[in-house]
Amino acid sequence: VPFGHRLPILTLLWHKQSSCHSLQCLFLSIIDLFSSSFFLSFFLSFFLSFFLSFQSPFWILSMPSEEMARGLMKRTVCAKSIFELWGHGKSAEELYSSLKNYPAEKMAPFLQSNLTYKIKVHTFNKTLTQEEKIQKIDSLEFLPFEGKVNLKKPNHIFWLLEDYGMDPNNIPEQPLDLYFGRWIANGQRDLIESYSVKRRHFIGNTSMDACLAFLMANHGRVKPNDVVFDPFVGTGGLLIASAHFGAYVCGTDIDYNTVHGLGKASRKNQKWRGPDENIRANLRQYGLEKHYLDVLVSDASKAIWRKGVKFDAVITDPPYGIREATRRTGSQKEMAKMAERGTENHISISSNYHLSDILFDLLKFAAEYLVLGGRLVYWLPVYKPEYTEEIIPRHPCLKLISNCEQTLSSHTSRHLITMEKVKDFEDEDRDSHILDSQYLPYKSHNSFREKYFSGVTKRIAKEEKDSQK
Amino acid sequence: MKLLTHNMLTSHVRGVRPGGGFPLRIQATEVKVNNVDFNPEFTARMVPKVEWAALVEAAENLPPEPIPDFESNEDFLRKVHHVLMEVREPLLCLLTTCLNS
Repeated sequence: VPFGHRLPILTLLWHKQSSCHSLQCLFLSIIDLFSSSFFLSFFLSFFLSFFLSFQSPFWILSMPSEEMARGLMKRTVCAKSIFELWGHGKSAEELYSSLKNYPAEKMAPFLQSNLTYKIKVHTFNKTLTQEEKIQKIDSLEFLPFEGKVNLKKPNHIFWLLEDYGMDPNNIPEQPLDLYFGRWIANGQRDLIESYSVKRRHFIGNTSMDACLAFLMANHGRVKPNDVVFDPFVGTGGLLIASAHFGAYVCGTDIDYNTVHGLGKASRKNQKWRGPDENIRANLRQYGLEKHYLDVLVSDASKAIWRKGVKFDAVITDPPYGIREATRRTGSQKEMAKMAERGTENHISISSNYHLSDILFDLLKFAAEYLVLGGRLVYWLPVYKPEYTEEIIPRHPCLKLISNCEQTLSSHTSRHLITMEKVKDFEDEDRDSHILDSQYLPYKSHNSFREKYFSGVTKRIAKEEKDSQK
Repeated sequence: MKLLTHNMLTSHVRGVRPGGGFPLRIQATEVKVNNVDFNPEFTARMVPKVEWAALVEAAENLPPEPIPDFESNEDFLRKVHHVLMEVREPLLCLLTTCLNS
């Protein structure tokens, strides 16, 4: 047994797809699981039997222990509940025979006469009447329950879960899959509601959805007493999720008005921002103010941190120039000088901050200022017709851990990129990105904004016109 | 700005003064103090990460070197916590403006 004296338990994970409708969340949730469990420093190999069906809201996975399952559920926002699986079948008969084969000694500790219990029935994609539910519970009477039923405060809750498929217009008479198990823990789905942007004090035009913010913190393996940094902090939505997991947070943003909570409000029916609309007040709203370090007005393209400063995670949503402008400081003279040097000839003479430069700066920053093993998590905008894996920016110090897509429109999407620092930053790594920037695919990030706003046809027409010049 | 953040910053303007722009100058006349919950684990984690000499320069009442066994010395950690997390000083250097100073 690879897990010492503990035998792995078979668990059933119930993840709720509908709530992440805007996402192709399935992949995300797997990785969410992986990173949060890895964070708990367990083996990844616990996914020994990963009977995974993307169509199903239920996954069966094998885990080394119940504590592990509980630990996992303390972090994940993608899963609803986890159960110790006692039986599984494609029909009621199959389920019953599977339950009868479940070892009695594994059941016994939970069915003793001094323990109370209750059985719940949940049907996915079908509604049952109370009578039908009771009927289903009654047909489980062969289980050797010795304790009494207690509907209000039972010691143990058992669930009968029935999956009637995904198609609401074609609901089968009998369930496709049936599961029976003992409830272990619920996931952190409530956080999405309690941290909802709708009721947050201070928000901006591009505040990150709470679900995604927690997902990003999990990808970053944020843990208590970490220092987490966001170089494009905006209204600090990503910091809130990290602070919730016990990290101390700081950020920078070039926009003085946003950082100071000045100017026009992002909310409907509110013209100007009120007093005290700032990131500190947001953290205070959630009781997390003690995790606030500082938020500075600064330019992400400039090195403001002393050598040797190390962050445990860099979690950010860089501006793509769609809903928030991309800017950096820099005079025209300075830019002209750079163009003369010839190394960065794709920089136009202006203070626009091109997306590809933002990304290179971000990667270089992460490579230099992350602790070894620390993670960079960020969103990369992608123009879908031109997407290949090669356009994902790389750095010799950073290893790509995951890459998951969220569709934004028919021709654009954004990818959640997670990288881990695997090598110490040395001076020769400082300019390694400049070499990379000679590759054509990287440059395409520059024109993401244009592509976003113009259709493919328009763009081709424009390119043709340009080439004729 | 908290002194912890101050300890992490340097000026990005080259050649401002010897020492490469670290630490940024602070104006000690307008010091503010606000209470922050004490977290011994976090404070102990920060002790080896800060530039101690710069911290001593910015704050009074700190020994020139972190004491041995500082992880288990609550008095010392409380003192460091106060300096790092509770004292806020405005920066003289205007290249970086802080939200709460």
